[in-house]
Amino acid sequence: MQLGRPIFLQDGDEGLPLPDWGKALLWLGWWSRWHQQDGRRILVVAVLPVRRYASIFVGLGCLLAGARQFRGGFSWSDFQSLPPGTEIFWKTASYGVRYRGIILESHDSVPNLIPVRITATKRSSEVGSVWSFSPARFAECVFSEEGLPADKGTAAMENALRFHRDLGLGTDPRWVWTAGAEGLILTNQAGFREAADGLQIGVRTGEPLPLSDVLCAAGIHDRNIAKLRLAPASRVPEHIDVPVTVLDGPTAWDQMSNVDTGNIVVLLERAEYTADIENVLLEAAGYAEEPPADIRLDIPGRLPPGVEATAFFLGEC
Amino acid sequence: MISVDSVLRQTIRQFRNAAALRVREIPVGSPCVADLVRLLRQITACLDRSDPFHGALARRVWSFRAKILFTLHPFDHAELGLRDSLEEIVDDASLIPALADPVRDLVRSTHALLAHPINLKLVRTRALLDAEAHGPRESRTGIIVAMALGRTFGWPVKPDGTPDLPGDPAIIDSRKALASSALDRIIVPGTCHYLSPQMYVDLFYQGRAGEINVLLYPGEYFALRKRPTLPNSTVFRGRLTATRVLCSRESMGEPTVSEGDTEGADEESVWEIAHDGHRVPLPDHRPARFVLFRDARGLFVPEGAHLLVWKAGSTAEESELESVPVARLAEGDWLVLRPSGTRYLLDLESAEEGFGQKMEEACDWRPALERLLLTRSPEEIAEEMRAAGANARSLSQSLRQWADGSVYGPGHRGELGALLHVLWNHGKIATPANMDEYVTAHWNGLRELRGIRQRAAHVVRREICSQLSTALGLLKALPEGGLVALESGVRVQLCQVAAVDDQRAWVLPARLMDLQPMKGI
Repeated sequence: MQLGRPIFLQDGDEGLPLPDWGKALLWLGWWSRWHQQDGRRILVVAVLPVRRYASIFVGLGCLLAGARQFRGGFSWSDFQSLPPGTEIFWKTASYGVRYRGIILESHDSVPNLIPVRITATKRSSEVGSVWSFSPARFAECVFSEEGLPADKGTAAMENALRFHRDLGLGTDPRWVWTAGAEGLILTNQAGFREAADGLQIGVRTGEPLPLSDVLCAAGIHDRNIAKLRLAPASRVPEHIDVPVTVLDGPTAWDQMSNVDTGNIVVLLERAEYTADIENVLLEAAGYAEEPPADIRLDIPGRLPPGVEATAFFLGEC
Repeated sequence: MISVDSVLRQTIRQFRNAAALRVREIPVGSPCVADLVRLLRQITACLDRSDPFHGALARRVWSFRAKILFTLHPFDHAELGLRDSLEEIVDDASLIPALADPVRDLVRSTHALLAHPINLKLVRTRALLDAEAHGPRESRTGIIVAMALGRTFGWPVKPDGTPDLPGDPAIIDSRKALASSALDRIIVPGTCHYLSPQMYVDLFYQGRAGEINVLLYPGEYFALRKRPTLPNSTVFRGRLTATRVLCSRESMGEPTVSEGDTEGADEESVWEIAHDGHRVPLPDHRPARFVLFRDARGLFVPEGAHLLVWKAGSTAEESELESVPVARLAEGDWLVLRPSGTRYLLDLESAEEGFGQKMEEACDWRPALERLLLTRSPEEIAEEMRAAGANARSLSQSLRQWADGSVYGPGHRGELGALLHVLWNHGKIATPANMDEYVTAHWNGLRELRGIRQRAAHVVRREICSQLSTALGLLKALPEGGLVALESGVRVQLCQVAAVDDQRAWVLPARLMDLQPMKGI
């Protein structure tokens, strides 16, 4: 993980560089998101003196890696391949009006015209009407399979992209508008938001931005687009497929067996790391496979004091 | 400038503290205490703990010793009650001839201590706090007072209830108090051997303070307990930075009695003092965790069970009832126990689904069983049931419960079938047209009964939780004894957790959730 510029946090009136433990957690998130292996998964467990902020930095790392790996976005061919009846969201680039609609059956005679019935928009007179999208009209709008945010949410998404630009990442702007989260965090959601709300983040030369904007996070039941999904620590939501699941704390740890796909990052405080958990990890160590060489190339030479971590490369069974 | 108390600053400091903690062992010379510790150890060594009487005496001795070692009161303080404790030991020991000499010496030494009751740990604590109060930088100190199983042994208090110590130190009587304080230094007035494991890890490994001062009389020792560490992985091999805890022993030039590390040799595990659960699985025993409460009572909770905990916040909005697994209970949590008077609510709720009528239909074999029990012993009936295909282990006991109605009926269809078959064999029930259908109908009836009761219990539990939450939110302080009366007439007992044994214990099912006075103290 190479960032062009160092990250700073703004806490009250003073900026301070991202602490070493924060960098390590950011890296853990980045690394876990970057290395996706078919039929295999990486289990990372980090034991820390305190978990506060840990899931935030791991989540941010997932976002940076996901943005870096982003290729394409929601294209015309993706749109064409959606079956009739699929719900779709879009907004017009010129006026920023948001729409929700249902894809209708297209006529065989005009395969390049996809009809969509509008089911919700603030212009009530348009509800029920059918728009037909050609490739040219498709290109004039921003499309997504998840709800598009209102003005405030849009500004937050723009802030997230700005942070990526400030870091010198060159993230494709379509990344933020493309459906699909980079990570799922099982955590105390109120605690997560409280910690994020109090901080701003940026680079030394740039203007600090609200950390909550940069995280692009939303609850699992929020229909709007989000790049990180938050869920209660006590339950893994069904029907969600994410590259990384972060289990923040012992209650979330108990949910590990319900995480079906993707890599897992577990965050525990030292007092939460019990002999029972150690036993499970020893068992995991017993059947861990030798990791491919490439995932070991970008591991830092040393984790900072206070951060203890282990990782296993496992078959998905 | 950033506020000193900003959450980010606290977190940064916690990471820094945890990465390199300094522990100072500070010897506190006191020949009198050293003599007492030696004598108490000598007495304990003479006791046979497998004998209940000896065991009880050993616990009295342990308690007496803990008071001397951990208090910050002068030794003649009324709250300590050292004289009374000594008398109890002398009375018990008088029945054991081998203890005559050491007990005589103990009496002499205790009287010498009470004649000069200045507590040198208190003196040293005051000196440390004074030095800090007049030091060049502002810092905050905490004092651990929950020194053994969450039990406290007293500290000087002003009339307004605040600690009568220089610099207004934070008094730490629970993990919660430890977690909520931002501290530079923590004073621990004695060996950490009896701190709960969770408190121990919090104190030494979670970066709660940058420096910990451990005050030790001669004969007390401090050793850093190891905590579980992450298994090595081929991925991160060689890249971890081990946590450093720098331990230093202060040399005061004070006389210290050179005694070996005999504390561990006592083999008196702190939890052995508290409860009598077995450490290895035994037949018919269930795995459980022992929860000790502040009022010196405790209970065994089935391993893996969830308990209802009242998490008291600083405001009503921040307070809530939460279901917590027993292994994650924390010191200071209020456990909701023993709602009384719920039976009536349960019956009321069940009646709405016609419970009474269904009970009569599903359990119409009960009078027949009662009649059979007049002429046959439960063991004989159980034997016949086994011959008819039942395979439960304690059928004879169950038969009594089915007959008196404390249990609705058999828990398996096969058992019910065997029971009805035996009753029919003895002519206690009429010959059914189709035995299989007869059994199925009764089995379905029993299942329906259980379903009604479960649904009713769920509704009642939800209602109690709601009422309790409202009642607790309105209370400024919990009433004496922790008993809270609810609108529905139900009374709920709340007990504050002092410590939780982090090792499994195996106990008979009857001991589970049975609130009893602590075995030892």
